[in-house]
Amino acid sequence: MLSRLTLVFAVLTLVAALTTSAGAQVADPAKWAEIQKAALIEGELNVTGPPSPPLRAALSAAFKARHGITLNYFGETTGAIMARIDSEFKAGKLSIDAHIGGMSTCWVFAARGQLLDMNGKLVDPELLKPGVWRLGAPKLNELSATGTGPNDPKCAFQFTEWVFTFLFENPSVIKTPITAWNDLLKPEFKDKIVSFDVRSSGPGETPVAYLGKVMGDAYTKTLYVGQNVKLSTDSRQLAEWVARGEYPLGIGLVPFAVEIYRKQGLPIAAVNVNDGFGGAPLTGGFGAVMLFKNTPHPNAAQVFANWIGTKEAQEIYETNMMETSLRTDVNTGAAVPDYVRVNPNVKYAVDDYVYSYYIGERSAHINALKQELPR
Amino acid sequence: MAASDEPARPATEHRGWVSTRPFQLFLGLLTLTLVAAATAAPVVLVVIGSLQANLWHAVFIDSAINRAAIAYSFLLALRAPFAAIIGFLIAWLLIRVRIPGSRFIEFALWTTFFVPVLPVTLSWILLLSPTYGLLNQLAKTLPFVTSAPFNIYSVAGILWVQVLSSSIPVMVVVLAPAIRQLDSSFEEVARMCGAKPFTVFRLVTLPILAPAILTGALAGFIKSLETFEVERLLGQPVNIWVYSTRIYDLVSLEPPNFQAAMSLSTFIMFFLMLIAVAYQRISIRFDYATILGRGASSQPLRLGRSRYFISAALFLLVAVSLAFPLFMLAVGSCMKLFGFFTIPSPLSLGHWAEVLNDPLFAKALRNSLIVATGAGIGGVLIYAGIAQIVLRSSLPGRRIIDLLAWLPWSIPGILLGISMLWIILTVPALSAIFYGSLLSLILIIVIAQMPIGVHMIKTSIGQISRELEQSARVCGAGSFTTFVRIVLPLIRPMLVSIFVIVFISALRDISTIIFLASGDSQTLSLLMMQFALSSNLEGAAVIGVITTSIIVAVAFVARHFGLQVFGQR
Repeated sequence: MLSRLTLVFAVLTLVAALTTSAGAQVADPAKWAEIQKAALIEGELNVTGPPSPPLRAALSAAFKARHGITLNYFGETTGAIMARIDSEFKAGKLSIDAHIGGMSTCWVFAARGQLLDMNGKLVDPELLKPGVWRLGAPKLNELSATGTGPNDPKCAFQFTEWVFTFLFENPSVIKTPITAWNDLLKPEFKDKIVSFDVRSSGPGETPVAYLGKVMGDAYTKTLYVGQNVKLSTDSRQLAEWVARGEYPLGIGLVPFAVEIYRKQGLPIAAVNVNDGFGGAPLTGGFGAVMLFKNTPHPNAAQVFANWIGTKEAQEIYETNMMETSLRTDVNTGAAVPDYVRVNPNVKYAVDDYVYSYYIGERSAHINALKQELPR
Repeated sequence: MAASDEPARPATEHRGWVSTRPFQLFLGLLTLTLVAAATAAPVVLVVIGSLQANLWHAVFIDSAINRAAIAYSFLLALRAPFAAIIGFLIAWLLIRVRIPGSRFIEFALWTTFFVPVLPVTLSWILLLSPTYGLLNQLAKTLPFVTSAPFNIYSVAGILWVQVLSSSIPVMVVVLAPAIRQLDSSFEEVARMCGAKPFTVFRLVTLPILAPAILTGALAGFIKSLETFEVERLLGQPVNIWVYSTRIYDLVSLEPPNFQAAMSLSTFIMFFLMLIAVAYQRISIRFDYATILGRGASSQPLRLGRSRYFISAALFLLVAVSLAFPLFMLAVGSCMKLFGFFTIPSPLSLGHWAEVLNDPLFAKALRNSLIVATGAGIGGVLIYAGIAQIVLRSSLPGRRIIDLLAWLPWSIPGILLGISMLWIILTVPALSAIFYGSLLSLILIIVIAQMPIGVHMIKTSIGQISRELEQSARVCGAGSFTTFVRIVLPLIRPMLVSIFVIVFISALRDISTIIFLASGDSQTLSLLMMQFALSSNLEGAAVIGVITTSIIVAVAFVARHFGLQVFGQR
């Protein structure tokens, strides 16, 4: 009896998981044509996103060419974007129509009641063809703890998923391969490790949460405090330190900074640790689009949200941001380093972009270490 | 402003700038209201934002970093008085002593102040990093040197970069006009009475110029609390926190913790306001009119062979503080990878092509020039008007205006920016005029630079003897005519300096304008920030070279134009 109940529960869970991915997206050519027509009348839209000039230039040009709508892309730090949007929203004068960014940002916007439900927003038939997406359908992330069911409200359309390989080494300095997380605790690495500052928002948090889950909070304390890990909030500086060997090990380095040095043949390489959890967490990076309420160009924003999921836009995004697309037909080859690509043969136990993990376990591990660092 | 055809009155009735009582009252209240709205309103918002239960406890008692940051900030800000003294000495040598190459050296020091600080800092890291710094590598080849003698990641490193690239040059920029306005006949009289050069300097020159030095030192002290890039790059890795980097950290959180940043700012603000009040009390004791009605003399001192040594020392200073950073900036913009000379084919124009082909570049360049010129011209006129009211009128509330003019520097640019955003969004009339337009950027830059603008122009106006203005009034000129025809031309060197400083600030500013710029009003500095944030330092260096070129050209023209009226002193 118990095993039958378990089986029923498992089937229901599987169905729920599948329908979560599918969401409430239905191809609607007539509606899609209508929205495009209205968007063309609006003529433009304002989008905020990661501060990448090449991404801005490429997206703006391609969107204009495809839909005839001017895309005003404004790249700033996430903090500045959040402050601006919050101020504008409270004053009832929102100028931003859509935002490209991470789920942490999305959940803050959602908690403030500033986002539209993404359910039903993807109507371009091309996006909803079978086989287009790795997960079977466009991935819509949960809005909050309300639920992950198909009819529960959705925060954003996540179009990328990649492996956040966070440990890098200078192979000309590190002669003995690092095969286990405990290797980082060896005395010879004291004062030799740098990390993105975990006390700031950014890529320093994810490794701490992952290592906390895999190795325990005592391990992260021993690593960061005991090994006297140097902290910085400058991604380029961190990558340069490792490439020059000033600090031969780096935690929380991001691909776009690492590749600047790696492409020039400098000694900086990803470290893969086989820990049974995948070696690194999955993330979506900046690869999610969200739509705001009460915007000046709602139709153009919806057209953009659909267009960003197309093969054309995904190739632009993947090339410039080094974050692999969730589309099956996008492969930009060497533009994206191997260490961020999802290995189908590896089971990744941690996904940063699951709300319950992000809010619960992830925060707990990060806060546990923050308590041990100077505040 | 009073009408220019105001009938002449006896000079004895004209102690104040404007004398008609009701009009005076109206003008005073109007000026007070406008200055208060522009300066106090954002600050009040910051103070209100900081007033939350337990917030101050969390910010100051619970946070060891915040306490350390405040201590380090004040420690590092102590460079300002020393830089003021050194800057004053250099400016005095360049202007009052016949030194070979003085004009070039002075212009070079102006230029030093204009070079973007990020590539300068990276260049010094390249030289003085304890691991791979070129000078350290060189030093280690010496037989008696076993470890790296220099460490750029230290308090000394931060001070070195700041003093060379900013603190001393800016003092030369702001103090040189005051020295130019000094009638050398004062010194000549002292010498004729038998005083030796040092005695003349100590007993005549220094006291007369004390207000300008004091203002420059205070402005430098306050401003140095806000410097950010150098401290973040050089201090953070070795746990040297300062007030400005803490503010950056707090507003960079997702979501930004503005309340904590505002609490930290409010603490500093109260401290700075105490200094401002003390400064006001001290400065009103000075009587330092040096521009009199009998004409001015400007004969430079003649030194013997020592002038060559002084010149050589100043050329060395220019080489270290300007030539090297400029070289690194220019070379860095043409490198595949900033600072890496050993990779295959290290030079490339790819980053120039990337920046110049960026569709936003032309618009950002145009926007920057409009904002910088608008803020420069508008700022100088507004600051001069306020300074004249504070110093030469008997308007009610002028002392308050004087204090209010310090306020914009009492909070960091990023908090000033967010406060102005809130104000503009909340007031429909302001929103309609300013929001999303270049006008909002001009407005915030004019407000942000008000402290140095008003207070340095005040020191210049204070050097003009009242008898000159009274003579104009006796001859029938009204207050406005006297101000425009007599005062402004006499303080022209200072106006030019302030114009250039505001122009540069507008061209370089990121933190103050970031919240007010829209997709349509992005500037070169914001474009540079985008390149830097995406780890493309070489692209940022390209914009740095372009920005520096514009600034040098503008500074050259402005100085040439501004100094014409005084001849080549």
